[in-house]
Amino acid sequence: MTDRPHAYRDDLLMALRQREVPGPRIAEALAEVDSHLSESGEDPTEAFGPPDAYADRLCEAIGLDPGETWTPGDTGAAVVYGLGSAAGAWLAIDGALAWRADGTSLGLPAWVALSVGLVVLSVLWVRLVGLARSDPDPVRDPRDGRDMVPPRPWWLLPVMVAPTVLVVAIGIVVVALVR
Amino acid sequence: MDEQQWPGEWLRGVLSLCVLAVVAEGPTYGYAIATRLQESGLGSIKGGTLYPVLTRLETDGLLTSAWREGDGGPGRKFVSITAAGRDELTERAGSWLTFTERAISLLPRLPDRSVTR
Repeated sequence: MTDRPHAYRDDLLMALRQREVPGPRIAEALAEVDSHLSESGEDPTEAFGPPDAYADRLCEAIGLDPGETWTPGDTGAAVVYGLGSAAGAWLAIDGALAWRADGTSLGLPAWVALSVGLVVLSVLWVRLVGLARSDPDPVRDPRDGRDMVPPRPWWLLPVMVAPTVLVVAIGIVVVALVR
Repeated sequence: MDEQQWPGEWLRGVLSLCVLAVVAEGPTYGYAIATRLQESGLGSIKGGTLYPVLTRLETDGLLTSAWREGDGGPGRKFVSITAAGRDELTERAGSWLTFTERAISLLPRLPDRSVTR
């Protein structure tokens, strides 16, 4: 699986990302692997060990806890995205329907509910698209400044946005049935 | 020099000190350090062992590094010892010598060889 230097490098990059190693430090590690293998001609796994184990050793060397990290903050962010999308979609759809019927939504004027719902959805979407398109902690090659992260696959953005679209669609169906 | 592989725990104890000593000889890079250690009889030190040691030494401020262009290759990361690194090397080398001398004093004398430094 990791016999080729490129595949090994990509696996190591992923392993270091999962351990929240800073981008510049990841770049140094990848460039060291490149440089060493080109001189020694060794197989990457033979020279450096499996990417996960090597990532753990590097973490220890720079004083980070080894092992993959999934922090309470990550869980919190996932919950905020999920509940926020659901609440935003509900408010927007219910507000729109109430507006047409000259009614209220959750006791709020229809236009307020609609506006709040749309703002919540917009903020979450802009953030999701930003996450899919930009890299908050870039891994730049210390030798020439090039981005060492492989190009993101074309399907990443649709996959990240799909859950929100699904929630909105379910929201429309549910609201339509309830009213 | 025979290609002997030493117990991992021995190397773990002394590798960082030996790497520091090799770098103190002059600016050098990972693969050359591994080669130097092998030529000195410490056995084959893999990249997966060597680079975390270099990283730790640099994190501790004992080494500095800079990338230099290679001859058509992907470049080399040269490391140099810092003033703090030289102080550390002197101190650790002294401690290591004391430690090994005490260990040697406990060992049985071997008939076919004298234990000397």
